[in-house]
Amino acid sequence: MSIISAKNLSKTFQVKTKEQGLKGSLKAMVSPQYKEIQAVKNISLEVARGEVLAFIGPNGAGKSTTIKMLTGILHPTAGEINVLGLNPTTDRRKLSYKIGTVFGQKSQLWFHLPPLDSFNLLGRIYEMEEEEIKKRISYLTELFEIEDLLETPVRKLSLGQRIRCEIAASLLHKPEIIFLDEPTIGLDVVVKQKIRDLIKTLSQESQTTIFLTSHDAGDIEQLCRRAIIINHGQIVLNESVKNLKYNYMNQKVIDIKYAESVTIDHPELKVLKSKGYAVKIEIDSSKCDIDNTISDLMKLGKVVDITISDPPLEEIISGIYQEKDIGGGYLEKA
Amino acid sequence: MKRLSKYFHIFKVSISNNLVYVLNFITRNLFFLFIVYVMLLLWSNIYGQKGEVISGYSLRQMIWYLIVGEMVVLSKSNVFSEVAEDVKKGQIAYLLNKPYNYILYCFSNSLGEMGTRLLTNLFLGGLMGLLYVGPLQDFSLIHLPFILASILLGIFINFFIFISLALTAFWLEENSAFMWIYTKLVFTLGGMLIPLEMFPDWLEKVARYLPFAYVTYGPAKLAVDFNWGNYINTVFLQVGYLLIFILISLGVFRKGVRALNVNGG
Repeated sequence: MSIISAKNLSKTFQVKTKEQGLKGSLKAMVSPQYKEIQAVKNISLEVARGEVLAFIGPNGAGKSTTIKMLTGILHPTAGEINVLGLNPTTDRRKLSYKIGTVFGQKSQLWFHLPPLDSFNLLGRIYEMEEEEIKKRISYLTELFEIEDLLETPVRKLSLGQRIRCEIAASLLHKPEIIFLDEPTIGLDVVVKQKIRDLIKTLSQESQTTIFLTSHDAGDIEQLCRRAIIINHGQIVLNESVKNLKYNYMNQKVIDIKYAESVTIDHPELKVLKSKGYAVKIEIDSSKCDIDNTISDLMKLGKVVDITISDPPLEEIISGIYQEKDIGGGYLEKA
Repeated sequence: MKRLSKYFHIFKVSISNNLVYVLNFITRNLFFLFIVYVMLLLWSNIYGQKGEVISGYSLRQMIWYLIVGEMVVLSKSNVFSEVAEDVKKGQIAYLLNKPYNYILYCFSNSLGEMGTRLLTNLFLGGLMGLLYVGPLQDFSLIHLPFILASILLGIFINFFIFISLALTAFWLEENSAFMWIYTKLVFTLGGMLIPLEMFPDWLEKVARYLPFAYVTYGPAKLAVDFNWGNYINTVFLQVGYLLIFILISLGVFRKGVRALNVNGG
């Protein structure tokens, strides 16, 4: 049974435009020009209870706008939404008891006060019993390993520490669905991994439905079963992560720096860039074994440095466009 | 019960949050000291040339009148710039998706700020009045709680006008002009510069029916010249204006939410 459903959802913004320079400013004062921006175009989606869904796309694709419509903050220009049997636009307050949200770039904790104060206040805002608040705080404290942070003013926490507290805060009232909007943005690799592990535990332990947006391919690979990719406000792909991985996310990029000059002549490898002793190679993990390839590369000469990474999401999407033949050029313009 | 107690807790947390700004408080209070001192010099000079009583005010009454007016205005919260900032930075997304009434949330949140400011202003204003011009003749301590109630009503009307104006940020990118105009209206028509009695007749009559006078003039006049007839009249109009602006702010919010365009992220 789906607990989030959206049909033909659209959102249009009016944006004031202005020509460059002072002359443009004066002109805009006399006769303001507006441009219509369609942030979300005709999106339809369904999410089942307990599902962990990745909602991904590059910056400005319409991810946040969609989340804000699903949570009732923004009113859609057209379309229908149903979340847990409620219409977010009209039942925003009722719905807020049942959902939690985390916006990675913003904070819901009181800046000058320790997180514990914010937790207690949020518990009261959600009309929880005092005993229940205490129990919940101690459970989340343990799960998120934030014991030592509880009494430090939020302004003194690092970004990674703060995000852990933010997620804990949004789970206080045991929401049935949690919307995580870019929870790993700006975090370093280690902290990112920690947040991912937490989200995994969360979905396994409490069966919370998780709606995650990210522009990090790693988030999706590790966390989600299904991914919806959006770009320019439209759904490009709605598929299981397994298929996605097999079809589109099989490319890995290897940056390798040798201490000496080497020649790479491997039929399965594509050399993207070669500068001095440093080489950038793309490999298709569905066709060749990463383990063997790396040991082959290591044998070529003394290696100073090596990194393996996912290609950026923009490239994956561009790959999907090419595959579907719906015009990759459109993407490049953005 | 829980529905209301959450607002009380917001108020409590906002007091704690405000205690962080002690230094800011002290600086503001220094400004209060300075401005009243300048007025004292100015009015001493005027009274020196014009005689003992001007438009029914003695010098002592005039100084206390101005102090009480300043108390109300200086005990405002930063709600205007906070709401505008929340909308501009997109922080509003976090504030809207909570189970409370947003206007009441802002009010409880500001109450901590207004309360802490009012306490320091009452103390400092009282002290300055006593030191600069001495206690008012005819002043009775029995009237004090009633005057305080009127001061609070003035602060609350001020708050709801501010938030009604602040919510225009839901439509406009830049709305600080509203606040500028409004504060100037309180300064002039609200009787902060000179009491309404010193206006030309026609202007005085108009000003007495406008809301600005019930932010500052109303409580300040009661503080220096208390009588029950005037008290009931003033408080009646204050409560009326308070209700009007509460309704306006709720209405503006309801409309604004539909037009809201959340920036960033």
